[in-house]
Amino acid sequence: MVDWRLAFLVSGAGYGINILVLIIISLLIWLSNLAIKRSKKSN
Amino acid sequence: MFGLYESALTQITLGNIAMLFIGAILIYLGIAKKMEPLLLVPIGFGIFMVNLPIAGIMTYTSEGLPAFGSFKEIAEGKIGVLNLIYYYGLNTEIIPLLIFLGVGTMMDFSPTIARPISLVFGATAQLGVFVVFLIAHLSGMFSINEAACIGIIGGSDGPPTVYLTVTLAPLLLGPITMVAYSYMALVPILQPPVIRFLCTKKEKKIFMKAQIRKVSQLELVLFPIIVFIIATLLVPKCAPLVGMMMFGNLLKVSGVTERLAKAGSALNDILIFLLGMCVGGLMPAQVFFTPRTLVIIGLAVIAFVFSTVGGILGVKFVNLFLKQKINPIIGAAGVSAIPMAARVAQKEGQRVDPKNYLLLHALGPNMAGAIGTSLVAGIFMGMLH
Repeated sequence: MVDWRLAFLVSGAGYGINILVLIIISLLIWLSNLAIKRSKKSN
Repeated sequence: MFGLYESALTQITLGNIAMLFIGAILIYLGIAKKMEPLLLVPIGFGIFMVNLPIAGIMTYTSEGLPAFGSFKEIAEGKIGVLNLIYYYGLNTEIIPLLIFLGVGTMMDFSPTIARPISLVFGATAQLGVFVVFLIAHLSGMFSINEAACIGIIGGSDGPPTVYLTVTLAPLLLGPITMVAYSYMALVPILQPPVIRFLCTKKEKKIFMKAQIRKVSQLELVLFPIIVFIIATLLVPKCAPLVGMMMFGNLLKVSGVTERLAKAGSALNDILIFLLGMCVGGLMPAQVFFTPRTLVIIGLAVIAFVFSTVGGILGVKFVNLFLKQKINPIIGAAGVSAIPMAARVAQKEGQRVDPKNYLLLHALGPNMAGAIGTSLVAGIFMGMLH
C-alpha cells in the first residue's frame, strides 16, 4: 500500500536532517581548526 | 542424462542461461575494462555459481531468500556454502560493517578538513536518494522499505547500501547491490552531461589553487572523533556504519596504530570478495528476472543524476554567500563513488580551463559523500525499521 504521507515525511525530513547534521559537523570542524591555528599562533 | 549420474544439462533454463550471460558480462567488465574489478568479478562468478542447476552452492526458500542452516545441513546437501556466508556474514551485517572499517583505514579526509564546507556538499548530493525513494514508493511497485533501499543506490556507496538492504528489504539485496556497484563504475558516463547542463561556462572557469591547505595531525585525529560523536548523537542508527568508518580512519591517522590500519585494509580485501560472491549468489534466475529488477535499473540512473544535481546546486547555493567562489563542478563529487567522481570533476574542469586542477578540492565532497550516505542509511533505519 502506498503511504503518501510517510513517504513525503521521510524524504523531506530525511534530506533536511542529513544536511543539518553535516552543517553542524562542518561548523565544529571549522571551529576546531580555528582553535588549533590560534593556539599555534599564541605559542 | 546418461542414467549413471545426475546431470545439470537437462535442468538448465533460459533464465539460467541469461544469468550466466549477465555474469559473463560483469566478469568481462571487471577484467577487460577494469570497472570495479574487486567486486564485479566475484559478483559475476557468484552468479555462475548459483545459476548452474543442482550445484547447490546456495539454496533458497520459496520466497527467494537464502535458506538457513548450519554445517549439518551443508553435509546433508540441504544448503550450500554460500548460505552460510550469507547468514553469518551478511544477515548479521558483519561483512558490510567490517568493510567500512577497512574503508576508513584507507580514507584520507585532509581535503574535507581543509575545507569543512565540503561536508555540506556531501549532504546535498544525497538528493537522488530521496527523490528516487519517493518515486519508487509512489509508483506502487515497491514497499516503503524497499523504496528506501533503491533510493540509497544514489549515495553511490556500497557498504551502507548493503547494510540498509539486508535490514529493510533482503529480497532485493542481489539486484540492488549489483546495480549499485555497476553504476558506480558508470559515474564517468552518467555525470558529465549533468555537469555540462547545470554549470555555465563562467562557473566552470572558476579557478581553484592546485594545492589545498596542509592539515595538521591534531586536526586529522579530531575529525573522526567529532564526526562519530555528533553523527551518533543526532542520528543514533548510523552509529555502526559511521563508527566503523571513523574508527578505521582513527587507526590510520593516529600515527601509532599503523599495523592495525594495515590489517584493516587487508581484512577489507578478504571481505570484499566474500561480499561479492554472496551478492552474486543472491541472483538466481527465478529471483532476478522480475519486472521490478528492470525498474530498479532505471531508477538507479535517476538516483545518480539527481544526486549529481544536488551536489552542484549545493555549491551554487553556498556561493551566494561567499566572496571567493567555489567551482560548482566539485559538488558533483559529493556523489561518493571514491575517487571516480572526483576524477570526473577534475576532467570536466580541465575541459574548460586546462590549468584548473580541481581534483584535491573535489575529494573533499567526495569523502563527505561517504559520511552523508551512512547518515542517510541511519535516518532510513530510524524512521522505517
